[in-house]
Amino acid sequence: MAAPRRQTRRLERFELRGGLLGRYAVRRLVGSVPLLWGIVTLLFILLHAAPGDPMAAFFNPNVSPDVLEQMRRNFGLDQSLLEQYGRWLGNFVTGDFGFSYSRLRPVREVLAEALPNTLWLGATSLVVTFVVGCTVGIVQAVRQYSRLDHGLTFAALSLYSIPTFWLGVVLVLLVSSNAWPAWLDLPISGMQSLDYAELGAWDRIVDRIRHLILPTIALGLSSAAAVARYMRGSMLETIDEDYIRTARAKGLSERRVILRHALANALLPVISLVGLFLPILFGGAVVIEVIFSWPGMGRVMVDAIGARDYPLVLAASFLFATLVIVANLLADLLYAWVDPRIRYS
Amino acid sequence: MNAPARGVAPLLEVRDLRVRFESAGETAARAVEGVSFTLARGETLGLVGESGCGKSLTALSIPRLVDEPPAQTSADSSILFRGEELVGASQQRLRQLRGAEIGFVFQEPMTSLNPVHRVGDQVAEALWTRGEVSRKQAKTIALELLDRVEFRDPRRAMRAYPHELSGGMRQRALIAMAVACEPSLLIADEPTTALDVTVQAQILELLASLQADTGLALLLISHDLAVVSQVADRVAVMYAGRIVETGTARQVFGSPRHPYTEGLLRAVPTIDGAGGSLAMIPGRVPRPDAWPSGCTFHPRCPYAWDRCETDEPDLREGATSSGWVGARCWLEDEPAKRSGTGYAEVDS
Amino acid sequence: MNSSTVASGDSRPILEARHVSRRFSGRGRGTNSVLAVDDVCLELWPGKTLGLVGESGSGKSTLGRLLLGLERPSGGCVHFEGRSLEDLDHDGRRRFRRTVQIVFQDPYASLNPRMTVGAAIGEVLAVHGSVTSEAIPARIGELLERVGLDPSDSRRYPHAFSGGQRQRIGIARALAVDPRILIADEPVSALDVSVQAKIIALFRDLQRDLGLGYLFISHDLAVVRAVASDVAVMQAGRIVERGRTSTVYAHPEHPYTNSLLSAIPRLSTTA
Repeated sequence: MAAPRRQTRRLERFELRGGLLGRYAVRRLVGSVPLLWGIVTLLFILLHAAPGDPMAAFFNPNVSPDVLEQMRRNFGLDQSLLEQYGRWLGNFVTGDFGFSYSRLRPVREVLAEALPNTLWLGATSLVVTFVVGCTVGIVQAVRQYSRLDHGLTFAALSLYSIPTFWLGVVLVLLVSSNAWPAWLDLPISGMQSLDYAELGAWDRIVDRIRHLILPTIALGLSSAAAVARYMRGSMLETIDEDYIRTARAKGLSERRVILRHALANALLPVISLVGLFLPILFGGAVVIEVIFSWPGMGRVMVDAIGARDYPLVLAASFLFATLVIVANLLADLLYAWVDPRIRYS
Repeated sequence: MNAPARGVAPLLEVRDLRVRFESAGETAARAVEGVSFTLARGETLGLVGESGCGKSLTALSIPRLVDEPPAQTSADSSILFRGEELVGASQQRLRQLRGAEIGFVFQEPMTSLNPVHRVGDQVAEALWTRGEVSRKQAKTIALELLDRVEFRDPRRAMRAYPHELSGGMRQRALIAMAVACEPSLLIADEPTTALDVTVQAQILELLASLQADTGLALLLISHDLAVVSQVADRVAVMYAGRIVETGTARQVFGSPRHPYTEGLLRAVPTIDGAGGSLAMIPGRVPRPDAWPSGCTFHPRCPYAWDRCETDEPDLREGATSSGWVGARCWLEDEPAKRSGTGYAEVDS
Repeated sequence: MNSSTVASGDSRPILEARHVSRRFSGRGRGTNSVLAVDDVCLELWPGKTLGLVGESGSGKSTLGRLLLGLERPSGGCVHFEGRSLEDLDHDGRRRFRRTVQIVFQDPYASLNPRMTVGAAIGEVLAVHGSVTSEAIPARIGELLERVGLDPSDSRRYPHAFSGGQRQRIGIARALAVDPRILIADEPVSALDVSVQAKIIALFRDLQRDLGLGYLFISHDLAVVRAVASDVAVMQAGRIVERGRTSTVYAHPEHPYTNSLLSAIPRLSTTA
């Protein structure tokens, strides 16, 4: 009874200010166009400045130099850099991301397959990062200087110092070792089991989730440790605020004081971290997807860079950048939603 | 400070309250040292003193809102509220009393309301969380309360966020919150200090009218002697963690017995006084970890003699022709020592 | 230098606001711009104190900032020694900044916590180049003594001082450049009564000894009564009443002044 009411009230507030927020969101998105253009252009220059050639992959005694030259011409690689850039950008803005040299398929198709997989992994990792991070931070703040607090601080700092790829490899080794209990067995590669097609609807969901667990932990845990540090600090600061004393003077339970009065305020600075952590998560995803054979954007990216597959690298980078920008915007809108003092204009 | 026996137990009786601050490796700083007073139903007691004298800590100690640690209340201290001992009471019992029986209004209206919740919700919360009324009923009562504290448009105030209100309006909302459950004791810690004078006058009037309506007892903490003199029936002056003088407002402000009270009164500029005669109390308030021996005020006192440096006077109270008075000063024994020029004055 | 000779020796005010207005444009749609200061004229003379009273939001602090040149008027102008601030050349601006100084309400917020008091004052001295670098330590000691502190305090950090002492440090720093006008924005509002009286005494001593002129901004009419010979009452950006403090307080002509005065709680000893 309580929850739906709170929800409608929140929605009301959102709608009241929806006009302003909507306008703000549109302005932010329009403002990010030059930024995106800058990113892809810089990447274009860097990629072409790097040694190597997309056709290198096709070097093969059975392929004659004439054929290779013909392929170059077909892909337009014989043209000047400026011409290539102009043609690529012209196609790009119309939504034509070009043709992948290494996969010999349209870039759009490659990304359409990989993007949802990465979004899945990214979303679960983000949830783990913030749910685990915030929960740990709150517990630490409420029990400041307790043994639990010190222990969690140590754990968080250790986790934070561990590189993501190392954690991923250790998890793989751990789960595949003989000492690992069989009942806790978890898949260490791919998104689904080999017999996925034969499973029933429910078992498919379970199978998917089981495949998500290890990569999510590997990807989200060290960020969660960082979020926990922020949350602890923010919560401790909030608990010292005058309005917390007011809430206690009202005779509210400690639970209500923390969850209703302190939490929303303490979350504010942490919300703005969402935008900061997303690039870190995506960066980590590139490595984690390779370790766990996750068919996502990270894998695509690594392979494409190795193959000097310019169109694919550029399009994938563009997508990553767009995701980060959109996520930052969402974080700001979320901030405005929680904090009534914010008015975007 | 015991009120003259009236045959009825007082609403609040604080006896020998001692609060220290523990810090590792250092001597414990005594912040409140043996404070005793009583407060009857419907009565207003003004607790005055400068910053660092322990008045806010005394106030916060009553509903046990002081964080322990770092603070530590002596086990011999006693705070009897309607005969019930609050020192050592369970958190659960204290929560039942806070808000319901003991309301609290804080100094900073700008920061004492939660910025992310609506004013109406914050007022109603104190009511429905006790489980005695539904959320809906609580909202209705909250609306009445906002009307009672003279919001021009209580419905709008219900939906407003704190940042949309002025300082005076926020203090009204905080008062509405504090009296929501009709407490018998209202503790107001510098309730008007952050406000403009015209708003201050309105808030003081509001407190007085609430008191007239409900007969609540008011403990008013303020550094502003004029404010206290307007509102309080009785006054206790604090210095360095102790009550140094007590009596009715008229006695304390009209004919102060303690040199500190005298100095304070003469240091306040007034709008009708000529500016030249402000008294200056030499030195400054000692830090709690460095209270002087003997009478803690002796280094600053214009009348002090050797006895004041070595022996600490008690707060000696008693009935006089003009009522119940007391001062913690050796001058009570030797009034003839109050001689000489007293405090130096500005420009003299 | 005696204050009366200073006043009579100068034929014109040091600082003058001529029909000064300041409008703040509202942010966002539907919010109107606010006229924080509305057509204000006032003069500041050496050796004299003008009290500026009003409630929060009356525009008194904005007026102070306008007079300090920290804010540009949207109408009218501020004149320094007869010339508009807008027209001052580089030397003129330098002279202006040395002649007109500010004292804040919360000196702690304006003192760098990691800088000793001596370093904070020395910095001002060095920037303005009024004394040679060898003479700086001696000058710091002199300034600290001038405001009632010990020269040895120059080695301590701001946190080691009480509120009243910090206000003294703030005043010493303002005095470092030998100003003739101090604009004091609520300089004693954050202080305890007994400390307040001593800072008021310091302001008076400095005026008597150095011939300083003050704009004393305060919400506290009683404090203004104690320091200012003249008073201006500000409401909603306008000066609604001005005159000799004793006259204005005894016979307020504007209803707003009257309501301010009657709202002040008086020490009642005849309850």
